[in-house]
Amino acid sequence: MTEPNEIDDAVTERNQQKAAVRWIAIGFSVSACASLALAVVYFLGGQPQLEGTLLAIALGGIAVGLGLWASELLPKGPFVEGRKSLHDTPVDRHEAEEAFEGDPEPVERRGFLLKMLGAAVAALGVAALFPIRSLGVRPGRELYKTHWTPGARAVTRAGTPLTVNDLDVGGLLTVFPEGHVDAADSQTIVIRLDEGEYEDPPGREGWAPQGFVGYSKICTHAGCPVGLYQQETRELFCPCHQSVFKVLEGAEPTAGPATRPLPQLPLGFDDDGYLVATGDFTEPVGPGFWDRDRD
Amino acid sequence: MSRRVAVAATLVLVLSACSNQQEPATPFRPAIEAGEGEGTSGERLFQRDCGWCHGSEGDGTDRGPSLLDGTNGSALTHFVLTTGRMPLDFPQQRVQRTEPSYDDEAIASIVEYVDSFGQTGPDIPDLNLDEAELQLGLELYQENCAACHSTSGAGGALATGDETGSTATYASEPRANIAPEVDASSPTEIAEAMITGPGTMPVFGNETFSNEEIDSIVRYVVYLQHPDNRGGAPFGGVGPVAEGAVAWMIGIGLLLAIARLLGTKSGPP
Amino acid sequence: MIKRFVRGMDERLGASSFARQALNKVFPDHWSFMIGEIALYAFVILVLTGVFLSLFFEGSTGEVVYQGSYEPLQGVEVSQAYNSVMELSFDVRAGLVMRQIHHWAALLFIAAMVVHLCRIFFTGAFRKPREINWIIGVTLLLLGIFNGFTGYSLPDDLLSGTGLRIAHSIALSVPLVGTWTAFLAFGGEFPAEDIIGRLLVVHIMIVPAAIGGLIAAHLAILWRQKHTDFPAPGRTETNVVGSKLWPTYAAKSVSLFLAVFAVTALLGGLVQINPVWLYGPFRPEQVSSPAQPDWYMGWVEGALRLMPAWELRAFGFEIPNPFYPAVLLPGITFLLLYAWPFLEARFTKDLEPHHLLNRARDHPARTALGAATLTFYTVLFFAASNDLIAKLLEVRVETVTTIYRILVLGLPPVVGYVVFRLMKGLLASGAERFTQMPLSAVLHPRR
Repeated sequence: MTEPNEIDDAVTERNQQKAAVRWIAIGFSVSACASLALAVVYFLGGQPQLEGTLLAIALGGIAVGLGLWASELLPKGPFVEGRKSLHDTPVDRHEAEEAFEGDPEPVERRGFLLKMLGAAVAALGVAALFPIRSLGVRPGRELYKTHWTPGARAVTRAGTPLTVNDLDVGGLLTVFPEGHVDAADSQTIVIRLDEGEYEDPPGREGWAPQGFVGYSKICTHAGCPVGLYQQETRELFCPCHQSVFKVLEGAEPTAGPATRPLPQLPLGFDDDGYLVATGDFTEPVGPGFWDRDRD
Repeated sequence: MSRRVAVAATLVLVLSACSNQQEPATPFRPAIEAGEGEGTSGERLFQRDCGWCHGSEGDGTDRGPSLLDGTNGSALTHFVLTTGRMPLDFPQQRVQRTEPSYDDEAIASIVEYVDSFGQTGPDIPDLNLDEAELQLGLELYQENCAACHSTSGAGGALATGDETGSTATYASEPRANIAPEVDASSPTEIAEAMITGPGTMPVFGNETFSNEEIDSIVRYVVYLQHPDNRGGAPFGGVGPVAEGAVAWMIGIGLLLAIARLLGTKSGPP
Repeated sequence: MIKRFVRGMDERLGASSFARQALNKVFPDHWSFMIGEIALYAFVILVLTGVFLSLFFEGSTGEVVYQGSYEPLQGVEVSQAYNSVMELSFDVRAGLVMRQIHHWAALLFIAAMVVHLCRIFFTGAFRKPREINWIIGVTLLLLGIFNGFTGYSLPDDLLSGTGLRIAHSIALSVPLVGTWTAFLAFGGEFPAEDIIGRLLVVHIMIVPAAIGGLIAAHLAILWRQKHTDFPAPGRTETNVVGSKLWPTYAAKSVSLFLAVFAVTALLGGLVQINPVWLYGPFRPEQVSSPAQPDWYMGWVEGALRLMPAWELRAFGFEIPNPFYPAVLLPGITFLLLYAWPFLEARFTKDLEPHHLLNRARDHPARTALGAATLTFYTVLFFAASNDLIAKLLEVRVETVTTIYRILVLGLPPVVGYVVFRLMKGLLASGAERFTQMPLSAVLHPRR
């Protein structure tokens, strides 16, 4: 009774193996063709979609072939192996401890010497940290000031200064102090509001001449440029974490994680009619830091 | 995985319920019925479809703003009509791009009629894209437009729009604002939007930019409508969010499936 | 030929007995044990493609005029770093596909590590004697995330530059030493000139060397301790059942490597990733919306967006708002991750070594806690795309943010409780699968 079943099983298995061999061979050939095609594509100048797909087929063909080979043709097991305990014997452990100890009869003042060694190594370790200081400049006053000075003309990135006719009502531009177009900390948004719309807050009289109001563009939350302006509602919106600043209320944040308003730049027009700053920002621009309020 | 799907589905349901498309309580009646067989005339169409919000002389009502102040002019009228933003069916309806309600001839006649009220805003701009410099367009677009409309032109979300400063009752509730994608706009529409600052968009008009600069920005935006996507499928051009979704759903999905094929499945799943 | 090879090795290295032991070594081959290998092979692909990229990349912020074949940028002043990436993408054959394969492999590397970590966690494979490997693994995850961030910041494009700005601000927010940390790490006020060069050294030298060394240790320890396995008939704490390293397991492993490579190649060719020419060169006054980091930073980004406008201010000092979601939260996260095996051992008072794995139901409390924690970080992750969701669904972005705030606090305990009850139900009913478990086992658990 068992013999025919055994023969059946053996035949089925042999057929399965034959099928596997066929598919494995197909996989390898497809891969080789893809590699060839890849070479052709490359020599013709390359094309990303073809390169990626052909490479994927070239790799995948071998992957399929090898995978089938492993699953169908190689010894499947399951094989069993013993797990030796990870402990060694207590004797081994004792000998290891002794090996660490080193000298079975240490000199009397060994403890003292070891402490001195520790102190020396610690001091050297601290000294080894010194090159880290060379990595940068000290923060100093950097974060407390920008490149805006009284009388500095406001220019666009292209270097063009602004007269009262160079900004539409309801429009905005990003400006820098003249000569410092690369000064990231000085980036300022100038918005032209309807004249009379903006009421100077106490202490900021005259900061927004003829409806031109200027705020630091650096978000007081995490420093992204607050580039979005919603004209209808006079709101500045930061795209990074969605803080909202009300332009008519001194750029006070009304939504999002920002906790401080955008610092305002006092503006004016010089004798030639160009928009200028009449001073630097009166507080540090950008995100907060430990001693920001101590100036 | 199915837990995440359930959370996402619930989120979608809850959020779409909060979306602010509302049906009006009562339909609005037009001011004047159009006569049969009298053709399209600017006056007739305006008085029928626009006057009940903007006033029969365009000076505004408590349902809609005046058409005589700010940047209102031929450019803005033309823009809102060709992009189908106007006319609205009811005052609180969301202003967004739809199919235009009129053909070009009708739009032209409405524009002319509205202008006759005495608008002072900019006219429909003349563009010269052949001479426009693509590189200047890129620089100006990145500096002035990308923040709202995305470097890829995919558009983005804006803040709520707090209407507390506005006196018009038509804009009485907070709206979900977006800066739209740029892919459906004609060059004229792009320029018109820039120089009139429709809705909450700022004004980037002829005081801020020269004609050459406007042309160059328009040319760059037109480029963004068919950008160089040589790297493959762009998935909306929204960046790392889409890439992360593909990495997990396609990448990890495929790899786990391959691992399942290679390994055994005995034991707990 | 094999005879000659074996004799040659044996005469020089005395390697025959080692070879016999090693080639016959048994590895359990449940498919979920291959996830760590997926991560390993993704790393190999990163190194291979990375070497290619490093031959073209110029890590400098010095300005140069772009002269390559991408028309909109011709004549525009860009940094050397950006210029070199543009050149690689447009004017070097196979350059773009290599860049994209590299970036996709990075996303998959970290994703596979996260899935692997979850498998280890939920099956209790971190228990004694494998705590060391858990610590190494968590460190690998941290290093992977860090290298991913430094990597995509190298091209000096507008999107990654915005991310660097946020990183600088996060460094600034650290109490007492924040300003010094930021200024020393970056080389000054943002955007410091040196940053790209430094990121390059970190990205191609320091971190890959660390990852390579730790992977070696990770595998050596695994080899020494032997792999864990699920309990089943014939499997005990004192044996290993599976396939032999040679030839079966090795063949499967190589097949998996090629498959991982194939998937990254397919993605690298068919799906665009990090199109820096569309983002534009970095300028400190420019920004794009939407702005998100790569997915593995999403949980920090989501935390930054969900954090309400609070900060501590006292006596003229302040701990600014970004500190809590971006320093405190990640710090606590990784601290808990590192400490977990020891915390659990102390709580369960289980100091025995284990080589057989748990099923999720065997430790309902651990499984529930893990599920709740995953939920928490997943909600944060999705919160990072709140503006995209707002635009897609045409809903106010403030509403989306509020909903996520509610979810991040409310959903984890709910999920934890539900999972706990489900696990208890499985245990009580003795069912093999959820589908075979009667609802009564969950709703009315027997004591």
